[in-house]
Amino acid sequence: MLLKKLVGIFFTVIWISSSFLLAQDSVDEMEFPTELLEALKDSSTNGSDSSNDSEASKSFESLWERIELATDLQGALNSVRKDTPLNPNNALISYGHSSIKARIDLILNPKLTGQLTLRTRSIITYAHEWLSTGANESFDRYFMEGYLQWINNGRTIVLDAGKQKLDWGVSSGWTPVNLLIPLPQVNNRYNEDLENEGLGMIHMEYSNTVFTLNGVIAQLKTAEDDSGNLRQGAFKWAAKVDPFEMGWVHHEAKSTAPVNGIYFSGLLTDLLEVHGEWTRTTDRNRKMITKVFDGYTDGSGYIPTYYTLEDDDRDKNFDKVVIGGKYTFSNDSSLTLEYYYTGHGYSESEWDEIKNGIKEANTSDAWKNDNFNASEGNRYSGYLYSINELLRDTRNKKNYDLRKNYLFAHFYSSESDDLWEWTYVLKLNLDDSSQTHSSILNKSWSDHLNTELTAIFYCGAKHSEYGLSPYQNIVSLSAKLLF
Amino acid sequence: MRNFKILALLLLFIAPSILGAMPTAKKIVEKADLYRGLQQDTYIIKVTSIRIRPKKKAKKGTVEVLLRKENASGVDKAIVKFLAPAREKGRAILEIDKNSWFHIPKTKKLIRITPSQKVLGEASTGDIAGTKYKENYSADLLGEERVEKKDCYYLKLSANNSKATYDKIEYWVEKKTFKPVKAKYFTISGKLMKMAYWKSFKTYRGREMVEKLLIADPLIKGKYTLLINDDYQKATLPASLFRKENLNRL
Repeated sequence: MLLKKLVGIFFTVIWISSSFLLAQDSVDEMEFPTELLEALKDSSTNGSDSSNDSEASKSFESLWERIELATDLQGALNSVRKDTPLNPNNALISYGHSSIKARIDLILNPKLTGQLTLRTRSIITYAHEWLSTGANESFDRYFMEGYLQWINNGRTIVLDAGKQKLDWGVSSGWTPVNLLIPLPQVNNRYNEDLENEGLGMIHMEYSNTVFTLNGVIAQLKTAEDDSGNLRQGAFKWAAKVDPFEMGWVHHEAKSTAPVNGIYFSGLLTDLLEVHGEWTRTTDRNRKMITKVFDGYTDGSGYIPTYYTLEDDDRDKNFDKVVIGGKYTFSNDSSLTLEYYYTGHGYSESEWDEIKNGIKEANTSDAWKNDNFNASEGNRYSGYLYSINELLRDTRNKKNYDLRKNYLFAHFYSSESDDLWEWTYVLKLNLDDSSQTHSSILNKSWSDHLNTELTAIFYCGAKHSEYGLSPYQNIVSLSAKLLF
Repeated sequence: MRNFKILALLLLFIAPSILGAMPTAKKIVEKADLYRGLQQDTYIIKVTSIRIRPKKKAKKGTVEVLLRKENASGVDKAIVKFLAPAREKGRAILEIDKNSWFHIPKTKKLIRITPSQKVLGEASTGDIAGTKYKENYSADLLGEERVEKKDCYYLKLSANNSKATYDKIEYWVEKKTFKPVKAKYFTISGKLMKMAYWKSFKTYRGREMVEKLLIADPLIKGKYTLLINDDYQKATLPASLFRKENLNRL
């Protein structure tokens, strides 16, 4: 019996090895698939000179090459938390539980002369959202970018003027060296998953064989001052020191302290890339939690402890550091891991104060008690609104996370032969162990049609960063038509 | 004695001409390089790739490749612009030696990719560009073999600098014309990575160069990428064009 098994295994091994070896050796006399044979035969006359292409067809191609048009139809189902202390019984803010959105995204980059190009990107959106309080419809257009670009013949000087987005970072999850202060988030629900519009700016770049220098003066818009004048500036100096690329960045803006930063990226091996960013400033970009008074009892009953959020005026250094790498596996999938530290985030004691403020605002439903109304409404509900705003920033803006230590993981499956792609993203708050998990499954059905199924889960304890998210999960399906 | 002298004289005259007719391995590689792409210029080529997988529908794509060859290092810098299909349009890759960056449309973010990440099927930018084997590999002539119905020189190439993409290459060059016929590419660990077949040549602006290059996966039968070169256009491409920042400005 044993001998029979061994003989069986022996022949199986022989058969597998021979088919494996044949797969390699038979390529010399391979029989190509019909499609390939047709492509091989479909040759323009061998040996003839093919240098006389039609100039007219070339210019049409080059114009078409400078247009990118995509339309997108998306349906989303959101599981809204009912028990979040930031929005008790969903009474403060009405979050959408489902939506249908349509979008047209047009990039147009016509070349005006040999050196001058107009670069534009516009988005038109329509959204129909079902909220707990009824339906909401919106129709918007966003002029994401629109600027003139001049490049000299030697390609050593670039000048841009107009509305533009710049991205200076080398990391994935967080990019601290992306120093320009973006426009405030547009108050539109559809824009929650849409990046901010570009900033009006004048940008210059000079490069030689040793280094590249960028300088930019850009508009600054804040909640306090929305004049949008050119009141922030930054520059970047970058050089390649094999096997690394490294740079220094500096930013100044009206009413804020200067920021300095450095970054690097490079290859350690053919499979492993490493990168890092670090910035330092003396201005904290978080509001500080301040106790106005302790809770007490008077004739009318218990008056809960009251906190507000105020600017942090302490003169101290606030750092942001990202360090990470990307590993590529033999099957072409890749894994990116990053650790992020931000001194701007809330410490354990500050977070305890925030949590305490939330608990106090919920004591005996203080947030809806008319006895606590101030000139701007109920002060406790005002506090809950402020914390909701902070959380919204963490969902929409990069580098605005609430705590100090984070881990980011990004796995990309690579494109399969059937044009499936899977991306998984984890953001783990190392201070309170709350997490967001995102899974994105993409399929190209044809050269022009693409679908994407996305699921985002917010997990964590009741008073943790992601546990306080108004959504438990968001599932969306979108279909894109590309031209 | 007299006969011996005549024989010695004859040998003295004939031997050098016989030896001279036998090309050295280096010379064979150098001549074959000329068919694999322009070697000293900056130029643009349009390449159609057809990716074939067992029991799957073939996928076609078109890229435009901007190349700049510098000094003694073969192809140092390349920009690959994806023109079609629509789902890939607007993407671009910059390759400088082993450093590569990938640009995805609608973002200004440039993603650094490792040399092992595949973005053009089995083909590498070096395959498209016709990297100079003469500069990056030392060659040994191992003999002669009949391959693809052609009498060929059989050579072994070994990387002689860190810029070389492969550690070893087995290389067959047609004896009569010095056109490349077939190559097998190996990693440092000796693993066979891929095989290439130069299937046809065409005259572009008076020079005969590769038109169709077939790349085969040695482990999966029926997995191929066919590259069809459309045209070689000489162009002025300054060195400063080949910077990652310019991927957003193509």
